[in-house]
Amino acid sequence: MIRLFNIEWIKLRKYKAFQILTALYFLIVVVVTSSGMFFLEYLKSKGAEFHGIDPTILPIYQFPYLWQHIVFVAARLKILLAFLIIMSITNEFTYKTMRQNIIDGLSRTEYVFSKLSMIFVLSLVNTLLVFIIGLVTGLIYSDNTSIEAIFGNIQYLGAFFMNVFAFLVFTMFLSILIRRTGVVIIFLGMYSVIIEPILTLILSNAPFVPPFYAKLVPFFPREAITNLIPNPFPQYILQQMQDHVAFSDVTIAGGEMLIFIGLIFLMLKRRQTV
Amino acid sequence: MERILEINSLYKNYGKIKAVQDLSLTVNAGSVFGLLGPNGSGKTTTLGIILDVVQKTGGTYSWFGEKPGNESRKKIGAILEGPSFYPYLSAEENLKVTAQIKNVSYERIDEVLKTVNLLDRKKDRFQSFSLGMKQRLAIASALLPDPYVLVLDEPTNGLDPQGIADVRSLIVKISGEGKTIILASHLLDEVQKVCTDFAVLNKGKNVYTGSVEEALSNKEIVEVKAHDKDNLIKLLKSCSFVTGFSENHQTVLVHMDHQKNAFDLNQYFVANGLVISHLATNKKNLEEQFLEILSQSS
Repeated sequence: MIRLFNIEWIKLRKYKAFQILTALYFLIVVVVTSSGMFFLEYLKSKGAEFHGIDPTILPIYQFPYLWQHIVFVAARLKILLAFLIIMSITNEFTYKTMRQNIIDGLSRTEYVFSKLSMIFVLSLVNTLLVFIIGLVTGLIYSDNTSIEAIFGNIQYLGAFFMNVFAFLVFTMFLSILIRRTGVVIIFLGMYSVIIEPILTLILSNAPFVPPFYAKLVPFFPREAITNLIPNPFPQYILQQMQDHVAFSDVTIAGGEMLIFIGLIFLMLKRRQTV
Repeated sequence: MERILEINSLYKNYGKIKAVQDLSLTVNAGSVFGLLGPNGSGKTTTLGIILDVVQKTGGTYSWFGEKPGNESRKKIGAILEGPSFYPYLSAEENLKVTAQIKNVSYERIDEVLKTVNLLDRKKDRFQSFSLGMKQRLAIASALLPDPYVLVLDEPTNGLDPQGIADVRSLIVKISGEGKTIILASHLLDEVQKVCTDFAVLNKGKNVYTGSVEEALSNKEIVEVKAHDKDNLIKLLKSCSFVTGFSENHQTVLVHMDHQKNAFDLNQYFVANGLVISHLATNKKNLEEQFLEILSQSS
């Protein structure tokens, strides 16, 4: 497995686009997730209020609630990592290097695991980074810094890891299916922003759709991935929200992830030419 | 002789198109095997199948007498349809990827770069290379595992005369080190210069297999001129060992049985009282041989 990761690492480490995108991504994650208090101060200075409450007293960096807040925000940013995965895979079709890898003696299975190992490491580094930011910001801002409070909602980090990993696996699936960089990026954007939201909206709300179909909504890939981390912010405008990582959501996202990995293998084995 | 590659009755259909049909051939250790054929005759498809990047429709093949798999490909150095590398990586980094895949030590990288004369460019990006350098880097990459066999698909395609000469002398040098080389080409001159054996493909079928030497030596053509051309033609028609002849302006090109040569022909003319004014032996080149094979096969 280390050899397979190494292969992918050599392919990417000296690649300018990889260096820039990862640096940019991690920088954005650090800035966005650690600047919450400044953002609230800014809102306050602009006279914003939440039902008469001063925004700066919102407990965004209070342990243990901090974890849900921080991973929810960090999870919005992963599109940059998706670009990275798209490029690292579609490039190999454009330059015929995947085919050369196979000619050189890599099996299709090893090739997939080599890519997956990079996705795994990126997701892991990402999770560690968010963990460190959470720890630091929490220790600065949180009133309660007992061990129980700090690690109280740590399951959100697990959900975050899975959220990033599953999304990148889905991106990898699209990249291998479509093979063209631009088309994959456009499709992924259209799918996440337009196709799936509209489709799920119709299934769950349209009067002409039988109610049974609403049950399918959580199984759509974007929905399954997003549901791992419930949005914590509705509570601040006094709405209901899910305050835990649900086992059913983990099962659905995990199951789909495995299905996409299976489809990736199937595509590569079935293709007439690579 | 040890068998490097054996292909048995290989088939490949792309929908209705039959790209390879009932193709069988054997490549022995130490030979430089030319795979010849016009464009679209199935050369690259055949190589793609034996390198496991194209799925076959039927038939079998084996490398080194074993069932083919990832391990056998690691012992082969192969380039298919031109050099394929990461353009944004240096020559060295590109070879590191290959070295990792083939489980080869990085120490080999400088050695192979030296062999193809690219050592001083090892830190430069692949995209900055000329086509000739790219092709040479591909050969370097193929040489990394110190392979038993090199598979080269049109290695001189698109190169300038200097590049062609470089690649050819490289092939001769490598084969001199005892490696087996399988070379697909439509340049007959190339095959004639570097190959020991060859097969001709046409419309996906193997229409001829043999050694280059045999193909060339068996076919002596004798050029003859005589003032009395009518008598010359008449004598040729009645000669027992002349298999055919063709007229080319004043000269007549005579094809004969394998055992006979210009000496026998001249003796025959003398015995029949014909004085000839010109007699020359032409070795048939591979190109003529090739065109003849193709016209016979279709």
